[in-house]
Amino acid sequence: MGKNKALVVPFALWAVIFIVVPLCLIVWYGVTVEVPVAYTEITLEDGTPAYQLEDGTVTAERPWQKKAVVSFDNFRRMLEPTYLKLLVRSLRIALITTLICLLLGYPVALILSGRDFKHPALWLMLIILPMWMNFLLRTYSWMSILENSGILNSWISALREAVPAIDTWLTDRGVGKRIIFLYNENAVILGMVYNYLSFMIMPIYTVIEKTDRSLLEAAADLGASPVKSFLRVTLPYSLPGVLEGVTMVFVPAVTTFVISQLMGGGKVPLIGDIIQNQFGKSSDWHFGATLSLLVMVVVLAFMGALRHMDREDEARKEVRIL
Amino acid sequence: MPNNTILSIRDLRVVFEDGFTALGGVSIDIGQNEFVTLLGPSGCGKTTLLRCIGGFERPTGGEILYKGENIIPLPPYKRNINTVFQRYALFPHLNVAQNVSFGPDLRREDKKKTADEVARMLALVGLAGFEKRRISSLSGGQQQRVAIARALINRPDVLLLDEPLGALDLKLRREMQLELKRIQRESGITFIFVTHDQEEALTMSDRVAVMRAGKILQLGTPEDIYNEPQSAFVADFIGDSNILAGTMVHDGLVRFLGCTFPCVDAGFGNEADVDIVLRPEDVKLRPEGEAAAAQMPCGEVESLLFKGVHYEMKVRVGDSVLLVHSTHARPVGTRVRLNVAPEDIQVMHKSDCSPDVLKKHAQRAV
Repeated sequence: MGKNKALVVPFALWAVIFIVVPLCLIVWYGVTVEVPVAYTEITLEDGTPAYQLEDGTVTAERPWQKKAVVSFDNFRRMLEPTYLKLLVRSLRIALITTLICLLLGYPVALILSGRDFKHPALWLMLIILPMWMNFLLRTYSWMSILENSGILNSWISALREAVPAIDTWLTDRGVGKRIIFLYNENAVILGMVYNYLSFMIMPIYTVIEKTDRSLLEAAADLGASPVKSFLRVTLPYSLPGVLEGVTMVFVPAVTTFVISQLMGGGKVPLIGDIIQNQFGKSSDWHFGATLSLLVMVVVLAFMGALRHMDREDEARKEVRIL
Repeated sequence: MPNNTILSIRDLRVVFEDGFTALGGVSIDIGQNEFVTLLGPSGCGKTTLLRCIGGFERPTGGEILYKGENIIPLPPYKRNINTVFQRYALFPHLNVAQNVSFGPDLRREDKKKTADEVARMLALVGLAGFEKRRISSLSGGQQQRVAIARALINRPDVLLLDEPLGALDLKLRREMQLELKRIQRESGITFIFVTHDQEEALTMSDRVAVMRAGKILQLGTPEDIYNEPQSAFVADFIGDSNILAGTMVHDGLVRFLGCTFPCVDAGFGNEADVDIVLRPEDVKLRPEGEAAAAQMPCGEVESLLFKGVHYEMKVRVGDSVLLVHSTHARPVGTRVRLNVAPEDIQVMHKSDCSPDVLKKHAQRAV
């Protein structure tokens, strides 16, 4: 074996243990269900009742074991409207989140990579810094801001007390004393956007930042105004970064369960919540695995579509925007 | 001085944020359909000057008058000036035709007309039929020609070229030099060409501006620059030359290498320290014993190289070593007498590039 091949071994081992084996287990759990083992009641020669299993073993106790048998019952169950609705909602929320992240993140990335922008590294640091804090902590802080007796509501009450005009204006429009921000879809989307925004900014920034500036100069030289330079050069060049950002936001957004549980308070269950439930409270690993497979297929299809767009774009190598 | 000036640069200054003076007051008038080359070593400000004309660099002082109007406040896309960038800056996501038609497409010109024009431009630069090719599939020379076509299709009044031949091999370089010269003649466009290659500058230009440290040292035709360098730096930068320390005895008589020579220069004063430039091909070698040259300096051939058209010899005279080009080889060790015609002796004022000044610097460094 060559020296280079030997270097692959640890990784291959790692991949088998942590990727291939778990994946096989998920597939196995996904395509099986647990059923009680079959047995026949028999009477032994001395008259005592006993139980004979299919493999011929005889026990005095009633068999309690279960065994896994291949069955597609869980696939049928998965296609029930309850679960499909959850999947659709998860996809919708993930798409909205991705879109908002893109709309917020792209301009940020563009501004940060601007030629005249001072200290981009510092600003990037400020964007990334919150991500070094614990994910739960960050989400809990949002909750303490948004909850009924939270910071935002107390500021609004203070404002209403200070300026009666605002109070009457709000009351006239049926806004209660405490505005309910949390435990709805918007709160879940807010939580996701907050947590995933930097995953959108970073790849787009990286791509725009390393775009050859002389291309922008060439565009200007040939008569392109800054807007047209952006549309004809920067935008097409940043598409790979956009696609990467979209993937980095969409995939975790579609599978998350923590954000929906905290910010949604259980009122906005997503497919991730149900899967988590199957491995937790309901302890139906088989159905949980089936649902995981479903999500995996959806995510793969999504990424495949993105790749396809990317390749189509490369083949065409032309921008239709103008 | 051109009589149909299209571009007039007046006392242009660029001081970078870090305090570095890239251009320290440059003035030059450039005429319609002129081929002007900005020549100098890297860091001399030639590219900065070009970028100021193109609009990519904001001067800190001075004026750029284009047909009499100061264009410094105009952004690049509002100037009827196009640039061929140093590394071409072609759009890799577009094919050859789309690159070339970038300008016309921006102006929303008629597609059919543009396509014809693209074909015409590609034919002009010798790339007929390359329309659908990807940029990445082109060689350096082909890319460079696409960059020229992309700029020319906009019919600019002025074309700026920033060392466009730098990445090409010698043969292709020569071909492209002739090609560019032909395009310039046929199109009637003013070319401003930046290079650090003196041979390129001499071959192509109507006028050459030799630059150093943000200033134009000398502006003139290639012949002027080569034959009548005004400073040791220009002489040294343009072609091979021998620069010697000398003394102007009086008008028409100069002393160097321990001998006095008649010369055609005047106005330096009596017994003034000067620099002497001798082109290697102007130094003639005679046998030591020749009576007619008895008052000329004597030297010994130190090395002999065959260079194809001529031989290159190094001749030691006292402390100095002179470079001599001759079609007649003299073996190493031969004693020779040097002969220089009066009109071949270039006398110049002392500058910081003078040989004795440089030697002093070198000693201090040691």
